[in-house]
Amino acid sequence: MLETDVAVVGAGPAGLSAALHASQAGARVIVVDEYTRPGGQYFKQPPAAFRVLDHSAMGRDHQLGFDLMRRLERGQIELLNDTLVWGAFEPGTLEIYRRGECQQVRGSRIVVATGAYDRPMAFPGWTLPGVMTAGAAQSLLKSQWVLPGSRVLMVGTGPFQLPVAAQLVKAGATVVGVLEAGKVSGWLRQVPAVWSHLDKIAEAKDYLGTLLRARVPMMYGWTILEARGSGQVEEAVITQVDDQWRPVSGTERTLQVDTICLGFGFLPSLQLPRLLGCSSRWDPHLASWVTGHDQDQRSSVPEVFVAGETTGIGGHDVALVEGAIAGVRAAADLGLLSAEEAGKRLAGLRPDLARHQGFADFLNRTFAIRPGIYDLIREDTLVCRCEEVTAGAVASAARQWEGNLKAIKRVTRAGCGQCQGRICGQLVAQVAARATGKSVEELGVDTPRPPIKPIPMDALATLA
Amino acid sequence: MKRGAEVVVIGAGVNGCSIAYHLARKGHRDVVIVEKDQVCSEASCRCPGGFRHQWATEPDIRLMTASIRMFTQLQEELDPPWDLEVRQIGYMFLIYSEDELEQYRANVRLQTSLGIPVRLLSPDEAKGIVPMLNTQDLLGAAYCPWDGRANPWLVTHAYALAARRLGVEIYTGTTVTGLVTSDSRVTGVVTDKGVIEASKVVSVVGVHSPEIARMVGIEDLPIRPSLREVLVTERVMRDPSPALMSPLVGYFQTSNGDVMPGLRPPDVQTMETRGTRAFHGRTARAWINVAPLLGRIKVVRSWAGLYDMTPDAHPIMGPVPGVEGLYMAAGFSGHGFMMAPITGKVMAEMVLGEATSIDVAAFSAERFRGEGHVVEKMVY
Amino acid sequence: MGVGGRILRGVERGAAFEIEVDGRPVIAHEGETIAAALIASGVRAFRHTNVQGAPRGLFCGMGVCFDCVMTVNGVPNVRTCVTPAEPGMKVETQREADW
Repeated sequence: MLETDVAVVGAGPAGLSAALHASQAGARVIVVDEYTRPGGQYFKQPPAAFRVLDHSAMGRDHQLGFDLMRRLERGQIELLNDTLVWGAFEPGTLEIYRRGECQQVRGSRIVVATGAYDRPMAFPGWTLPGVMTAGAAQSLLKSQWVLPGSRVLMVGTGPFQLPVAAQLVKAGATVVGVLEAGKVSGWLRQVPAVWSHLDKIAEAKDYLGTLLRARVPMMYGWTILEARGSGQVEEAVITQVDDQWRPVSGTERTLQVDTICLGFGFLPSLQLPRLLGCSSRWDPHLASWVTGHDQDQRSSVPEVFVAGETTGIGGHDVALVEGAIAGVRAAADLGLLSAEEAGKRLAGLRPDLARHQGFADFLNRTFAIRPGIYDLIREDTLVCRCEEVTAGAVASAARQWEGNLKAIKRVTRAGCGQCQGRICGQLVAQVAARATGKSVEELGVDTPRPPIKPIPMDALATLA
Repeated sequence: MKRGAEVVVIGAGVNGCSIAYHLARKGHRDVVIVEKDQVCSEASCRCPGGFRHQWATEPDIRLMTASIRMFTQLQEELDPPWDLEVRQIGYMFLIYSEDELEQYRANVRLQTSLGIPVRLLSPDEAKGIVPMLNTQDLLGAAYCPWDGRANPWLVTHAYALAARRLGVEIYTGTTVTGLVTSDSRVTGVVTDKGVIEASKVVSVVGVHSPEIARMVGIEDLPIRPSLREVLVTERVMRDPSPALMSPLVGYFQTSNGDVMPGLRPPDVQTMETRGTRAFHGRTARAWINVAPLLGRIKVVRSWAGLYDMTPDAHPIMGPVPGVEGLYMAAGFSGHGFMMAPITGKVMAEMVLGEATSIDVAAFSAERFRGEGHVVEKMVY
Repeated sequence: MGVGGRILRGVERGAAFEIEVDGRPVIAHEGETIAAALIASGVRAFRHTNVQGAPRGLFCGMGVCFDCVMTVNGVPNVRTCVTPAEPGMKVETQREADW
C-alpha cells in the first residue's frame, strides 16, 4: 500500500498540472500513468531511445509538454509509469497493476485526469485495416515517426484534422483530401467568440498554409460513405452531406486511398470517475456524458477531483488550468494552504480558465456532431467491433427491450468485449435511441465494473 | 397498465418469466408481470448459468432431472431469435479430501440409482477430460456428462419474449408497494403506478421476498441474501471444458469461449452487490492452483450477485400460508436458474389448482414451522 | 514508398534488431511499438476476428480498442500499439485466441 497526500491518475497535461500545483503547495504527490512516458495524448513523447533532432518540427504542443516534463522532474512527485488503475473497492484507495503485481495507492485526495480518446464513427467498411482514428495517425507520426499510409483521406469535423493532415504532408504522405462535415457558413456566425484567441487562429492558418501549398483539397460539407477493399482499405466512397450531416444521394465519389483517418472529435474517458462514484452529466454539444464537477474541480465525491478531458473536451489549455485548480484545492483541503492563499491562487487561475473554456465551448458548439452522420450506419454495419455485433441486431434488441442498454448488451453481447464498451458504447446508444425514439441521454449510463482494463489472473493473484 | 388480471407475477427474473410463460401456454393469457427494474436485472443476470443433476438429496435430483430435460428442448419450445447456448458440457466436481470422497461416493450411488450417468473418476481420468488440471492434491472427481450450461441472459429474455408473444404484459419500472387482502385472500397488488386487481399473485423476487412477505404480515420469512462474485475472462478458444466445482471454487466456460472462475466466499449477508478486493485475489490464487494455465489469462470484468438462501438451501415453492391466492417461488439458494423450466411448469400448475407434474411438497413454506429439515449440502 | 514506412529525416532511432512475425524476420528499433514496426514493414492486418474471420489492424493507436492485438511470445490479446518490440520477440497474426 502506497500512501500519499494527493494521488493523481493520468500524466497528461491535466494530471501533471495538478501534480505540480499540489506539490508546490507542499503536498506529497503520486502520479499514476498507464503509459511508459508521461504526457498523455496531447503531449505524447517519442520513445526514450529516439533522439529527435528538431523539436520545433514536433509542434507547439510538444514543446509545452517538454517544458512541463522538465518541471516535473524537479518537483517532489513520484511518477508510477506503466501502471494501470484497474479498480477501486474502498473510498480513497486505487487498485493498481504494475510490473506484474497488484497493490494499492491511497490518497487523502484523488485527482482523476484520465483524458479522452478519439470518437469512433461507424460506417460500412470502418473495420478494415487502414481505417484508423486521427489520433492513431498522429501518434504513429509524432511518437513513432512512422507513416500510417501513403494515400490518406482525412474525414471528420473540427480543427484537430488540420495538424494531423499537415503532419502527414510534411512526412511525405499524399493527403487526397480533408473532409469537413460542417459548412464554413456556420462557423462565421461564431467568429466573435474567437477574437481573443488569435494565437489559435494563427496556428490554424499555419496548418492550412501547409495543406494549401501541397494542394490538399479541403472539402466542406462532405463525409465518408463507405470504405472498401480486400483485406485492407483500397477505396473510399465519399458523399456530400446536408446541414444535419445526412448523406445527399447522388453526390457520391470514389477515391483511391490506402488510409482513412477519422477525426470526429473526442470522447471523455469516464470509467474511473464512475467507478469511484462520481456522477456524470449529459453534454449536448459533445453528445456525450462528462464527469460533473464544481468550480474547484471537485466531483460529486468530495475527496475526488476531476480535471481535463474527462470533464468535457477542452483541449490542453483548459486541461492545464483545471489541473492547476484541482491541485491547489486538494492541497488546501489538506490544510497545506491557508484559505486566503488558496483563494488567491485560485482567483489567479479562474480568468485563464474562463478564457480557454470559452474557446473550447466555441469549438464544441461549432463542430458539434450532427445526427445525420449516424445515417451512415446500415443494418449490417458493425457497431461493436470486438464482438462483431451489427446495428441491426442492436436496433432489434432495442425495440424489444425499450432501449434498455443493459438488456441490449446481454442479448447481443455488444459491449462485452475487451474494449469494455469504450468504442461501441455511444454507437450502441445512438442506434438504440433511433430505434426507440428515445434520446441518448434518456437511455442512461452503464456502471463500470472492475477491472476497468483487462488484467491477467496471475497479477490478481498477488493481491494481499 | 391493466387494472386487473387473472394472475399477477411479481418479478421478471428467469423464474418469474418462466411462470408467466407457462401460465399463458396453458391458455391463461390474462397474466401480467410487475417488475421494479427491467427484465433480468438481478440474480438471473448474474449467475453463470450452470445446470446439474449432481445433487445430494432425492427431491432435488428428481427436480433437476425434470428441469434439465426441459432445458434440452428449450430452444425449440421458446423459439427465440438467438441460440440459448444450452450445452451439456458436463460438470466435474473436484475432490480433495477423504471426507469429501465418502460424501461423493454416497452422492454417486444415489444419483446412479435415479438413472443419472455419473461416474467417480481417478485424478488421471479427470485430467484426461480437462488437461489443464493440476492433479497434485486431487483425490478424484465426480463427473456427469448430462450436466451443463446455458446463457442465463438469453434464457431469461427468451422466456419474456415467449410470454409476451402469448399475451402476457410485462410492466417494467413498476414497484410493488403493497398487497391487498380481504378475508385472508389476496385481491390485488398495489404498485407505484396504480392497483392491479387479481385473485392470484405469485411472488418471485429472490432476496426481496421478505419485503413481500411483510406486506401480508409475515415477519419472519427465512430468506436471506448471501453475496457471490464472478470473474469473467477474455475469450479462451479451445474445446469447451466441463464446469468445474469444488467446495472452494467454481468455473464455467461459455459458448463464446470466455471463462468464469469463481470462489465460494465466506458468508456475507448484504443487499449490496459490490465486488471485493479479497474475492479477486483469492479467486485468482485458487484457480491458478487448480489450473496453472489460467495465470496468464486476462480478466475482463467481474460482478457480484446475491443468492437468496433458506436455512436448508431448498427453495420455497407453493402457497403462502394464511393468504389464499398468494404463492411464492423463492429461496433458490443458488440454483434458481437451473430450476427455471420446472419451476415455471410446477408453479403454473399450482396456481391453476392442477396436480403438479412433480412432487414439490418438500418445498412447501410450511416446513419451516417444524423441526429437522434435511439440508442440501451441495450448494456452491 | 509503399504503404507505411519510417520517416527518416529529423530523428535518430535506437538500435535496430529483428523480431519474428509469423515466422518471418521483421526489423524493429529500440523503443518502437510492435504495431509501428509492422506498419513500417507494410503489414497492416494483425488479426482475424473470431466470428467472421475479418482482418483487423490499428484503430485507436492508444490501447483502448483492442483491435491491434496479436499473439506475442505465445500470449494472445497483446495490444501491439502500446507494447514495445523486443529482440527475438515472436509475434503471430491472431486467429482465435488460442491457449
